[in-house]
Amino acid sequence: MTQSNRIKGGLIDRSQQLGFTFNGKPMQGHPGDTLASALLANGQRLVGRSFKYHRPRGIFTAGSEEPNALVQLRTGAHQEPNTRATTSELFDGLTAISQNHRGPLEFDLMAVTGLLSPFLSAGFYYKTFMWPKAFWEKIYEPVIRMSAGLGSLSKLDDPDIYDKGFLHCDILIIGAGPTGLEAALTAGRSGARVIIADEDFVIGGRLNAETCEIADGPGADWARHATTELASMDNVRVMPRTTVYGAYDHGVYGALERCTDHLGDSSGKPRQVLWRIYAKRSILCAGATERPIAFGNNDRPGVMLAGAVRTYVNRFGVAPGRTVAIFTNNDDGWRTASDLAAKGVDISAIIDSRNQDAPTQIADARVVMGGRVVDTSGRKGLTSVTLANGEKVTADCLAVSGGWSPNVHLTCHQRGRPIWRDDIAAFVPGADLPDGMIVAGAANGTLTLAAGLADGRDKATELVKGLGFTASKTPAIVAQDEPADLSAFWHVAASRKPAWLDLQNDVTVKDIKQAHAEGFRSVEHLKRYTTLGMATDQGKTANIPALAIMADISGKTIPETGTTIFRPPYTPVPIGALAGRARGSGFRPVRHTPSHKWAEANGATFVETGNWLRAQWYARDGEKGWRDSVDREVTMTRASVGICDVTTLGKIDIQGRDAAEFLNHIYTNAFLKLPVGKVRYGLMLREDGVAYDDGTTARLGENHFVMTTTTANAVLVFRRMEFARQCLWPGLDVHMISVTDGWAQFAVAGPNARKLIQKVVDCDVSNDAFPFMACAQTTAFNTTPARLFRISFSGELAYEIAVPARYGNAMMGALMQAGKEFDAVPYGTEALGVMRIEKGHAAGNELNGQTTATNLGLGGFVSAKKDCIGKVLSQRPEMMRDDAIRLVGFKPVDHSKQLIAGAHFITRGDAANMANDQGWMSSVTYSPTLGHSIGLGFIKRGHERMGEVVTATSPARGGDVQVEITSPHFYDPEGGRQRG
Amino acid sequence: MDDITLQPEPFLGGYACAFGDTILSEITDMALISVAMPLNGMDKLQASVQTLWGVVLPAPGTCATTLDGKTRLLCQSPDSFLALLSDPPGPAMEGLKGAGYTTDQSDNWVILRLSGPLCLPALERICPIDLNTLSTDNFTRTTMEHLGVIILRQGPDDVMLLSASSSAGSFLHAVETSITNVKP
Repeated sequence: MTQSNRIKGGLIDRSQQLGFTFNGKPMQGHPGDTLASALLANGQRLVGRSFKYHRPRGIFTAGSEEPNALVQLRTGAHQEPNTRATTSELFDGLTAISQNHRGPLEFDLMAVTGLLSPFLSAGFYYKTFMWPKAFWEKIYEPVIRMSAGLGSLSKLDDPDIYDKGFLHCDILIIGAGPTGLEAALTAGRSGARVIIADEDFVIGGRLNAETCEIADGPGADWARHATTELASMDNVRVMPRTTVYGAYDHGVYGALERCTDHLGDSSGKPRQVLWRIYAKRSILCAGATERPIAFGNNDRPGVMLAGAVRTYVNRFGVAPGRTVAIFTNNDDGWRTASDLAAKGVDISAIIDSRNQDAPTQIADARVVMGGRVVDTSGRKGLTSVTLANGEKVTADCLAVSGGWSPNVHLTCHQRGRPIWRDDIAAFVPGADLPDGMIVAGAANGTLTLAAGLADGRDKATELVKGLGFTASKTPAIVAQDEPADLSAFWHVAASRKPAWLDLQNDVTVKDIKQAHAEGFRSVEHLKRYTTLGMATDQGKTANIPALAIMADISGKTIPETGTTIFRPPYTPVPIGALAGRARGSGFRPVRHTPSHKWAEANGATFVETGNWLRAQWYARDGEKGWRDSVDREVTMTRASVGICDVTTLGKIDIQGRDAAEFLNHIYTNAFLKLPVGKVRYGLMLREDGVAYDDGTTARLGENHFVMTTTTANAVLVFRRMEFARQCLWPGLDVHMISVTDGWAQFAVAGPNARKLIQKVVDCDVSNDAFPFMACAQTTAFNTTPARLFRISFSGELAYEIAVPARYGNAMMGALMQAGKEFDAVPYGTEALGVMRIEKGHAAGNELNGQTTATNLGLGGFVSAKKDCIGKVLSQRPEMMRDDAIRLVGFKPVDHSKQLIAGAHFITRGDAANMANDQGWMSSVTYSPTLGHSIGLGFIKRGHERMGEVVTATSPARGGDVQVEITSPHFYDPEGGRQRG
Repeated sequence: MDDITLQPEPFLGGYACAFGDTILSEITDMALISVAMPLNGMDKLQASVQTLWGVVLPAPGTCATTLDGKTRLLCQSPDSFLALLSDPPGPAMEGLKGAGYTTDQSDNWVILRLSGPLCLPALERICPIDLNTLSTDNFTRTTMEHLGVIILRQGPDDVMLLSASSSAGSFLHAVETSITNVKP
């Protein structure tokens, strides 16, 4: 197809041709085109179908406010629906497909819904599909889902890259039209750090679309020179293709930069970057959006906003039609006429709703003052318009101007309310702006060029002075204000045909009237009942005319009727950009244990524990599943020796003259007199007396301790202790620092653990010299500094040995090598868990934030002789009840039965309901040592009910199992092995 | 005792990579110790620091560097400091003679050095701090991609980044990705 509608002029690069396809049809454009301008240049007026009625739709605007021209861009996994053709920069090889039709665009089978439009008015969905109930999910929902939605996703992983970033500035200027540029020049010349961002790919805003002059030259040239000057300043960052989409607290703004959307290939670079901009001050120079006038069949392809027509003519060198009519209520429509005439485009009529003299003369154009357009014709594109007197005027393009609405959206993101100005018949920003923001130019209701430039300069001067900079003394720029007279006119009441307000959601004037008749009179209700102002354009062209009609119906003024709340984002932000690089393996950081490489090389399967990756088990050849591996690891550890990386436990180095006293306050049990060279188990309570965390603390020196916490609570415990140090007991001399990452720590457990450890360290580890709960600072393998602890989580004779983390991988290998003669086995977290349940140690399942020391059977650990965090509230009567739940063990009466974690206990024969609930099973495992399933759990007065059989019931997961209450210490209850 | 000698492994294997004129590398020859000031122990600690390193205790958020440039003392809060040493930590810990509570932190941190023209553009993608306000030889703490980071500015386009050693791989990935994303 040739570019039949291409005319002279514009800011496009005609020296290059860009090939693209629309619905498979090859077309040509030029660098500087948008997809919309290129489509128009190629004579393509029909670009999509409307959402509800599948009406033919064309390009309506030339910017981000576009409600109609939504297309699917690109193909395959790169396919993106709902892309506005009016903002999509043309590139060679671009492929676009129209949306929302079944069958060809020209013969949409779903257009039949248009015939049903009298029945599909506002609230249709809420009032229909009510009966029969059996149809809800099987018929109505599938049919509605099939019809609903705009565009379709590829359903493939998005192959593009996205990123995020942080920017800082003194002044953020939002919008780079004449006002924004002048503000940026003023601020930049003062030395302030400035960011100026604009959603367009060419800086200059309306200057690129108008024929106005600045400093005796074309406005577009001035914009280009201003951009060049700004780009040359080290303190200024010019960001085209960047939409500032949200104003958040404390001067933080969200911005989306489209980095490679205009390229055929991203070349491995981020397609879009989501910026968080921290600005001391901001100037909103977002301009204004033209609005339409509602009249019959005003949605046909070819009906466009008058300002958009100027844009296509002046910026893109495209005539949107061969014969253009203009319908306006203000002087702006006449500028469109002038510009069209200057380009030689035929103007069939200028219809002005105002009863006054024509503001200017347009040669060869028929002028109808006080006129109305009541209807249009043309099945897939405009052919003529009908005036109120019944006269038909030939036109394949109708340029409509209902005036301009300042883009106040960002001023409302923190609940600011705009205020009405009668003189421009529009809302302007109110007084309650986001902190640090001021508004200038058209966004502030200053709709003419010279005034906008002055406003930008003045506002920037005010801000830079306030920030301590000296404003530059550059002379004010010379420009003229254009005529901007307007007489509010929203709707041609004489129209008998449907008059569209919201083109994207197919909301008509009739819908507004119906909503009002049915009692939806609040603006917010109106929006939700009719869907006015929803979807990708958020009603940028529709809201104000609809409000005006609502006001008219209800007999109120527009400000009395009010507005809906504008919320971020100003324009759509892709989910991919919000996710940024946080996808897949980059979703969150991963922490590796020091022996991770060794574990990988030795067949470990890993499990996430928080951010840590821990070896879960080490499979060997011939093992049929994880249970085989885990059973072997437990059995071999209990038979000889096993080694487990336990680095993930929190480790806190505590020093100070008062460190022991401090720990005495933190733990429930006494630490004041813990001897140097000894370790003690400790329990912590929350302030409310509930058990919080447990672990061991070793006294390495008189004023030096090292504490271990659970993996999950490592940070919480540290933070809580730091709070206690700084706020509760600031008079104590104590300091702490995390050393969790600094030490690689390994449990060495089993009857041969001593023999193995003796091969590693240079100190005597005999039971006499190094008894249970001893600790020492020593060396490992002759030279490496090490810490040794005689502690056991498995119930076996066990040690934990720590070396600096960078030796951890080598240490694991060396331990295995040294343990070869004992058939040493590495074990993972599953075997660790099995052995701790066999031994009856409480862990996270038991320390779940609901249980007390009494519940855990650790009441004796709450010292009566001293105070500690949580002690007072732990002594509340409710927490010390005789019939409180107690941690005990459970084994199935029939050993072949598997226990289920989470099962609740009831007396045999009782109904399984809340009234009979006596407790729950917190941990279960198959015990390879005992040969059957075992569990830990809480049951009322459990410690007094040894041998009793109760029912463990889990209706949702497998029914009932009869279980016997036992000691939680299934394995070596006397502790002879760990103390041996 | 078995005749085995453990060999230390840098957390990132001694990573070094050039992205044009921008260099990202793991620093493996530095030691870190934390120094906590005992209650009411300012004078004693100041005297020891002066004797050992010849510097005045820096104020919070600032840094003191020894004349030979081999040691930097970062004040993290009114009573805690982090010393970056070009030498092993033992002599320094002993040299303070108990005037401060010291903990060897060398293995808690991975240290990356990022220098060159892409340094600041890359950090813009992950660092929420306004680096314009961070002058040379000063440092601050922040988070990058959810990871706690100490950032020490060594020059206009030269920073040292310290983060937890256990997540060194993720941290390196974050910085590498940033450089790749901004590389022309």
